Amino acid sequence: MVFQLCMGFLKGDNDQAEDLTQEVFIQVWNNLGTFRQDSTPKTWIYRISVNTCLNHLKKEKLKSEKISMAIREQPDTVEISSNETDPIKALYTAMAALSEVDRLITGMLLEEIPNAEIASILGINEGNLRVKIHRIKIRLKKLIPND
Amino acid sequence: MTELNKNLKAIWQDLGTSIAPPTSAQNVLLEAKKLNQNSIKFQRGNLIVLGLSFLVMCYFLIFFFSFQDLLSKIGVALMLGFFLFRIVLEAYSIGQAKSDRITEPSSNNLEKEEKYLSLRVKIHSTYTYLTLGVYTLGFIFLLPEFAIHLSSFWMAAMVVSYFVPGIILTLIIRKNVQKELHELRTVVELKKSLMD
Repeated sequence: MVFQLCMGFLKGDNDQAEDLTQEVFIQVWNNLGTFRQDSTPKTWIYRISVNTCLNHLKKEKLKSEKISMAIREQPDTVEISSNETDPIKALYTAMAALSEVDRLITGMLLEEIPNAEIASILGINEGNLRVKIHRIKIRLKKLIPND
Repeated sequence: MTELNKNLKAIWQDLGTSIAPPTSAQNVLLEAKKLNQNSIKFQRGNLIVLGLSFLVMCYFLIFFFSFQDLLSKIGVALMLGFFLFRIVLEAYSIGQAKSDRITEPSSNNLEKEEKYLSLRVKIHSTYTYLTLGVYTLGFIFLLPEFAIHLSSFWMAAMVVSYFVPGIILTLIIRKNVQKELHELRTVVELKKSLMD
């Protein structure tokens, strides 16, 4: 689950996803003592995964301009190339066109995490999350027209 | 799942079954322990180096040179006082970094990260430049008394040997401030993107 979330976040970059997954588990290990029973271990691990992914952006020194560009709304005209036959690549390409936060939300939705849990992981209210999901759905429909 | 299309879910699930575990649990544990120890060693190391430098400075400025003039004594007090002030700030900053925000909801994590980075930027810019400035002023206050005992050549050598590394240090500080400012901007944008 963690590796897949990292893969989605890193747009299918296997090597970076492996490193990030390892970092997540290092954080899990280092913070085991702080785990309180107020959430399930799964939610807790997702929370660490999401935060590690977001922190990863900060560490990317050379990508400063890329990051600020990517965080801004993407133009709605981006579409997945129609000759992209590999569905996994098509999915990653579509996710790459989303903002970092939206990629994480998409990953968690695909992992079938309930909305209430996603909202608690991100620390936002469910209404805000629903708006985000609605926007993501519209964008994914445009990005993957045949989906 | 009702939120996203079933096709996407099927692709995602297929992907999940084809993924091999990227690394063994034992490696992760070893790496975790190593990184944790390195991080603690680095932070402690930093403070130890600063603390030892302070003690060496105390020895030279108070006992070895044993300045007599009031101006020199004010200079020594300024140099030592602001150096100690910088060490205390560094220790405070390390203390703030230790908080386990990685396990908190992302909005809290980003909020705390923003505060922490703002503190770092403030420490590395305003307070560090202030420290350097006051430290330099303290050093200048020492020069009249040094001039009584040293020749012009050695006075010039001492001033140059102070200001050349000082300029290099200022450039390094500036680079670090820019790096931390960039990180701060990233965190602020991420927070905005999350709360939007």
